[in-house]
Amino acid sequence: MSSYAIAAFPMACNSRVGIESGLPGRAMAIHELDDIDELVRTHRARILRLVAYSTGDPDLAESVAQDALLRAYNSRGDFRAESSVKTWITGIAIHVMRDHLRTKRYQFWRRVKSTALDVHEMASFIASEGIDPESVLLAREKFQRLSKELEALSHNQRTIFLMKFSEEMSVDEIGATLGMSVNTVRTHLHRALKAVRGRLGERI
Amino acid sequence: MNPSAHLSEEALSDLLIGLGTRQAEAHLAACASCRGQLEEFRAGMQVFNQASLAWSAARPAARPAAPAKVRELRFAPAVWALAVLLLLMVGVPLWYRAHRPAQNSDTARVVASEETQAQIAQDNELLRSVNEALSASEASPLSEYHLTERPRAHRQTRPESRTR
Repeated sequence: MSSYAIAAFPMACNSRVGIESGLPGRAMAIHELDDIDELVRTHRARILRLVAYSTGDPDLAESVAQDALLRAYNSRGDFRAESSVKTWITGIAIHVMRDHLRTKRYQFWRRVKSTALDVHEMASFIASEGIDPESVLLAREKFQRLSKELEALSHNQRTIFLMKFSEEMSVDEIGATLGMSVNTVRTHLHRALKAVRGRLGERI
Repeated sequence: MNPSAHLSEEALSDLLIGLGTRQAEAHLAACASCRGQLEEFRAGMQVFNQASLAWSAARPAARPAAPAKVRELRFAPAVWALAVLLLLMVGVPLWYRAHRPAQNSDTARVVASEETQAQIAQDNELLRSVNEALSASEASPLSEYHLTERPRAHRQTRPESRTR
């Protein structure tokens, strides 16, 4: 992604840091961005999850997460605190992911090699301490069903669904990040929710 | 909206998205069934988010290697210059060697040719002198019969065709 794209990323979003806490908030955010180890510790896992589910490719997710954090660190001077650091980095990750998906090299390797998410392995990460085994089994089943339903969505619907319900971004922030109107984001979310809740018989 | 009717799919979705109307929120506060649907979805998402985040956190992380990239770019021209220098160091002598033997071989051929001509002339001269010496010291068999030896032309001892 170009530095222009990073600099231009969502400045019309609901500001959490900027509006609520003003300049000290910005100073705190810049301090957070100054430490690349801290950035990796705080944001890597959720970016990896977002990209892995969005693309279905954990290898790509690794490289996007690393690239996005590095770009965020290198462009930290462009951060204007008009959104949270979390939202800003998520926006960068989305742009990096799009760049990767557009490359012909990736499209070629995607055809040749099919790496998929191992939903069973992921379900094993459900916390089981202090919970009865039956509840754990039910939770795992629920997790696997939801993962499969997400897989069946279109790429846009899945990405927007994850940005909303996993990254907890507002509709405005999602629209600004993806360059979509609020109504388009809303439509995608409606369709995704209808598909997920409908196919699961409203059991989720 | 009919207060007794449950929320539509669209109204429930709007509430989940965070774009619910006041009427829908009022209904939700009063309707356990609709509230239950939203809570079930949120509980499912909570399980999903917790497990998927634990999965991604468990994957080994590599620290972004920024300095390596910068160094690579900074020294790239120097590496290219060194490669060109090495190429010149190897290529120029090779080119010189490839051209020098051609000039030398012509010279050698000319010199060898000159040497051969001189050698043939020298050999011919030597043989002629041997012939003359022999003819002067030995008495001719014709002299016994008092016959006069007619002078004859010396045969070429070594044919000119010997020249290479």
